[in-house]
Amino acid sequence: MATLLQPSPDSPPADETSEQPARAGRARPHFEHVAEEVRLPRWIESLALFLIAAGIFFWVGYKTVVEDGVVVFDALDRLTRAYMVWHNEPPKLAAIGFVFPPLTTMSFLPFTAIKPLATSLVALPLVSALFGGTMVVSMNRLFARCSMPGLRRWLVLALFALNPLVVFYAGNGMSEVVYMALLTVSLYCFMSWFLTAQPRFLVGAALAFSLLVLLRYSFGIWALVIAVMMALGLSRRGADSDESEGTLVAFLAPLIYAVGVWLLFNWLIVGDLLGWLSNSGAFAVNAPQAGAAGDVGIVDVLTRGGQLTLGVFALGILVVPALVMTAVSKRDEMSCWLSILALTGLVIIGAGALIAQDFDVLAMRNALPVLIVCVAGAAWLYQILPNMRTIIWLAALAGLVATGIGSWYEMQRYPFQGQEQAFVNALKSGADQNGSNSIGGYRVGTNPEQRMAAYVNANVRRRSTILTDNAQTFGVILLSGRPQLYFDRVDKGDRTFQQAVLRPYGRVTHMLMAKQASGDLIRRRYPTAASRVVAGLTPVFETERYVLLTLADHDPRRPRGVISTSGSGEAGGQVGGRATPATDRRVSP
Amino acid sequence: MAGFEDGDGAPVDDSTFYRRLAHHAGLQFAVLEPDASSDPDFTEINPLASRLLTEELCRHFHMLPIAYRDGVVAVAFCDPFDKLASELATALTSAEVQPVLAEPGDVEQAITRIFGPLRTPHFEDLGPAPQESPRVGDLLVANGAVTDEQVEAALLEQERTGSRLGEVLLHSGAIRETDLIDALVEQFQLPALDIEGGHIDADVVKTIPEPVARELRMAPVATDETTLYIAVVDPINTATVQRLREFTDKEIVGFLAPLSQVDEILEATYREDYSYLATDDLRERSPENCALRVVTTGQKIFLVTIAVVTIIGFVLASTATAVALVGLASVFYLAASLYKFRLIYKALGNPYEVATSEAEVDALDELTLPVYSILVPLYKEASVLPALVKAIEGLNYPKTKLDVLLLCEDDDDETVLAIEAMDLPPHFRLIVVPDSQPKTKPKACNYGLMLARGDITVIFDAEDRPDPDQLKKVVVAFSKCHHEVICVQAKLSYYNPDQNLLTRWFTTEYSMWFELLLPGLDADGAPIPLGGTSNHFLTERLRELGAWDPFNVTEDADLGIRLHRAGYRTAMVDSTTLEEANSDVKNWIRQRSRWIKGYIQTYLVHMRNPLLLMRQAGFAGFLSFQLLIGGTFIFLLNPIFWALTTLFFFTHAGFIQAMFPTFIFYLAAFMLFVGNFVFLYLNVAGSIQKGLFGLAKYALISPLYWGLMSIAAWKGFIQLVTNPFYWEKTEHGLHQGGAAPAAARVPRAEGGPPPMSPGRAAADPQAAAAPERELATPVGGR
Repeated sequence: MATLLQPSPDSPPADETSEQPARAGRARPHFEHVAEEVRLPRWIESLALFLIAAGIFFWVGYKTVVEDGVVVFDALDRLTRAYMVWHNEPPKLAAIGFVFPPLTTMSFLPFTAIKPLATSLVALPLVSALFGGTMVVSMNRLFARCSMPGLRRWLVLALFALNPLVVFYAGNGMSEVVYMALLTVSLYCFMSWFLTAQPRFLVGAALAFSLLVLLRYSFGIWALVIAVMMALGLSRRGADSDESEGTLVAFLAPLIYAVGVWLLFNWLIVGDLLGWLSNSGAFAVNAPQAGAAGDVGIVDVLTRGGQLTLGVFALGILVVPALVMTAVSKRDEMSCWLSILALTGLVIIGAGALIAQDFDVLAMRNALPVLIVCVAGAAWLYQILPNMRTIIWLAALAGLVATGIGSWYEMQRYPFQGQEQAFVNALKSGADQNGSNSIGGYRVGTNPEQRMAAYVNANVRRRSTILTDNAQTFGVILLSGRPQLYFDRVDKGDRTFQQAVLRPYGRVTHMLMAKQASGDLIRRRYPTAASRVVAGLTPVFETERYVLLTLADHDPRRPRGVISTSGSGEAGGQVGGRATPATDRRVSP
Repeated sequence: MAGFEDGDGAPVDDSTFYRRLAHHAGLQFAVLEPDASSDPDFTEINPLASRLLTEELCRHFHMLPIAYRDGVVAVAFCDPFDKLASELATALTSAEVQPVLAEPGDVEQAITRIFGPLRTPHFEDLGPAPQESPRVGDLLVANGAVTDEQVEAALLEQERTGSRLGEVLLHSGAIRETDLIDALVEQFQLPALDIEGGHIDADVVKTIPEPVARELRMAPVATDETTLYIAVVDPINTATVQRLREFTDKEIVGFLAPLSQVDEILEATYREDYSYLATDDLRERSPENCALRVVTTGQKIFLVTIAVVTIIGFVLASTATAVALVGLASVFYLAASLYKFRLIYKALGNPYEVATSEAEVDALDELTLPVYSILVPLYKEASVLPALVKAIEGLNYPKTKLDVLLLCEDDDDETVLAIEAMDLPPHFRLIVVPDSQPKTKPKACNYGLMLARGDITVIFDAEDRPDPDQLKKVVVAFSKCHHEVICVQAKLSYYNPDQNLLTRWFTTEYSMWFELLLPGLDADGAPIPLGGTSNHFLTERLRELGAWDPFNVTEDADLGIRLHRAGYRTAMVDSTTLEEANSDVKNWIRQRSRWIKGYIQTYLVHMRNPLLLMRQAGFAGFLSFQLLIGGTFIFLLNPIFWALTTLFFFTHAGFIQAMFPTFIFYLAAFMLFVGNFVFLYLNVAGSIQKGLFGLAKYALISPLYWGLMSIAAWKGFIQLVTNPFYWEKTEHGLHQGGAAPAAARVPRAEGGPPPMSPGRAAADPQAAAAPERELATPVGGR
């Protein structure tokens, strides 16, 4: 009795890094034959890896983005939107936008609360580097979960993380690194759930996929594929209908909720429940000649698919067939699932290009999810084939070296890209890329935006006096740091903005529009305004991409008395920052 | 033999002679020989009464007191005309003597039976039973009480558990207490106690302090100038006598008595003391921890100040004040939600419960197992008794080391009679709690705790179905835990989750609460608000703490916080007790309103001195208390925010927009769209974690359940102001579609603390509905 009730004063805690057996599932354990104990990385290892990886990614990102001007405008747009969430007047959550998946913008939010981080563009490499670090740490855990010992996994990890395409996207503020991190997390959770049947991993995978969908809608297809595979797997292992149903509910609920909320927002705010599905095209302000819509055929898809394979995931040439063979020979579910996922990634790219008839779908970055699956697949093969681990490890190293070389090469020649060439050039030369060209019709850099922003800041004081389509002029808005000067689509919604575009006189003093971007709503309404052929609209300053116009006090095409705008009288005496066209107008270089 | 002759000179035997003599003298004739019990004149000797005179006097005057009733001592004489003897008896007993005539031989034999053949057996000199004396097993077999096979089986168990053979047979139901006492009397040649119809002076019982009497399993029953007569369960040995010398100088004479009888004597004597302590001990020892006062003067001043400042704020700057309030509420929402999420997610990944494997349970040496007290508060729950007994008998624990206290209320004749009629084995004890206010479950438990013999004490509700290995798992858990751990909380779940939507929600909530949140708190070393049942305490530590607060309607949660403040800890064990989920909405709201009221009570009690709380619980514990127990207020806030959101959605009212400036709006939006889903999804996760996969889809619509929670919260909050100690009754047994019988409903007492809430019912399918007094207290969800 005494001994039973007088325990040792300090019983040692359970080793946090070793795994406990599953408790919840009633189906047979997934992986009964794995006897070895899994030693997951300790927090200190994870922290060290995170700091190293994030540090490298940030350094490269800062150098190329902030110093050398290799700014991807999609990332700039998301950053601007996140900035406007805090600093617009009034601050608007709706600034996140309802066309693109919102999570990238949301991931910028904590950093755009501090103005200089955003206006200096440091937030771009910073956010990417943090997600890049997360990706590396997650990949390290995934390798450890697959029983790969420290040194081996660090080497593989290094080759994966230093792939130039990965480094580019882990430092440029694009959504790619965010979804690469989340996809790695979800695959780690998914594999862990498969091995341990612990519900927490199912929860983790489900939450990660719900976020993935908010980063890239096509991940919804991945989730459905996984759900089907899960259902089949559970059924095969003897789970009853309750367990199968409950597991699927747990996996799909976050995904369905995320999509549901997104639908609700679109319905409530945009008024179009499914508008986000049809309006997902990007506007490349710095690549007006881009827009690779065209006649995409099967041959194109196959050709570009081959190029992508070599350039982005050459490792897959080894891994995917090996997974298929293992799935068949060992009747291994996970091998089957991973190979299907890799193929799903490829099919989504090819089918997407064919359906949309858009070569942009074949962009290099779109193949990055397949790279992640291939790396995870290599780790799984390491786990499932214990007698061939050294061979698999060496093959993985070789595959990743080939992938890195292939990426470096294709980044300089592949036609559908987002300034990868400029990135490589920046790395090779160390020179400022502002003003240079990059494959895809890109004019690299933000000098035009900076000059326009400087002009605006110097000459415009009054709030909401520059009518502009922020979907095109976001760079100027962000770099000026004063979104309150602009009357844009965020301020009072698209309807009010459109009304203002139709009747701007007396309402605003300026209009800022992109000169060549076809998506600019102001340019669509006043296509010749930049050439000074519209009465009442006078260009006062222009850069390579933008033109700033002043407006007459009233619509010159209508008699004064007809104008009913309440502010017309006041507008007639524009003061405070309005410059006279004759002296202020400059021509951009 | 010297014969007697009748009037005709015909010889008559002694018996006939003395019968006639008695008739002639106008006295009652008594046959004292037990073998002649069929004789109409047979009179059973009351051993206590027989001790009213000393052995020497009895032998000398051939007399023996045989009964004592209503101040009259019946004394058997051989000579009805011996005036000296009669006067002596009157003088020495200080009572009126009623002479009874008996045969001399009968009297002699009776004296020998009472006092022994040669001399009074003084137990100081009595060693162990002589080697040649028969063994209890043999005696019981010889008496026909048991078979050889039963003894063999009992011997095996004795070897395993270290319990006494007689107790093993007794607890297994093979023999009755009287069989055992008969055998022990024969084995030790000791007299047995018989107080049937007799009166025991409380002052005599109190000669030995109650704790000592309980420890030594004895109770003084009578005394004279030289001798203290004590009912004993075990023969007295020298060590015991030495211990008793501290309290008496008199000669000590023991009578064998069953433990139940000793308990009865002690309980009858100390009944009022127990009752007083059960109600007032905590209030007197540490009034600052007692919920008798809902708010202290300091708290009143604070609350009034806040109210006044708020009103002034609204008068002077209504929008700013509203923004400030909304902002504070939003920050609190966020903090409480993040904290809960953190706890739950951590627990999802790590089984923080104390691990107890089947092998460890099997490896327990039953010889070393502690005695385990099980407190089962009952009220109007006669119908659930069979299932309750079955569940407890199903526990994998030596019966000889079980001490089950069935705690009934004084006015609950139905349950009391039902228990008595069940003729339960001696590890079950019926304890009738005296009628006093407040009539609550914690008071009953406090009462039972004072009588508990176990080293560990656990509470089960009447309809509980504990995991059969739970007690052993807890023993293993205690052995593994740090010495600060004095309470082990088992998990609770429901056996009727699929009855309807409400029970499904309730079960998912319980799964989240007991599978994830409490283990998360455990891992954090934060105060754990205990669940209402299946919390296992080290008995002595619990007593030191003052046990449960009888004025708190969630005394379990309160105790969890109190033990943490005292520097102790609670651990979780992976063993589940099944209960009945409430299936009726109104009934559920009543139950939940009580829980939420109790949480607010608990919050107010422990926030009487926030600095002291922080010092005792540590900053992390203090924060946890604010976010978890204080988080109860979220249920009150929810309807307000829901109403504002709905109103804004339909009207876009400017004043609402003004209340949510940017930062607060973002916070509120985050909570609305992310926070709510996270909590909803954690319910799904809890179900999956528990293996209740079928409930996952129902967890997805649990926001409706949160609505019910808020209704209950407001009901509880209003009641806290208007009627703080009222115990909202919950009917059980509804899973069979029954309804509580009207008789089971207890009317509220007028002008005082509420009546004891009625107990639970219907663990078994046949059970009728009965009200409830249980206190499982997850105020989870959002």
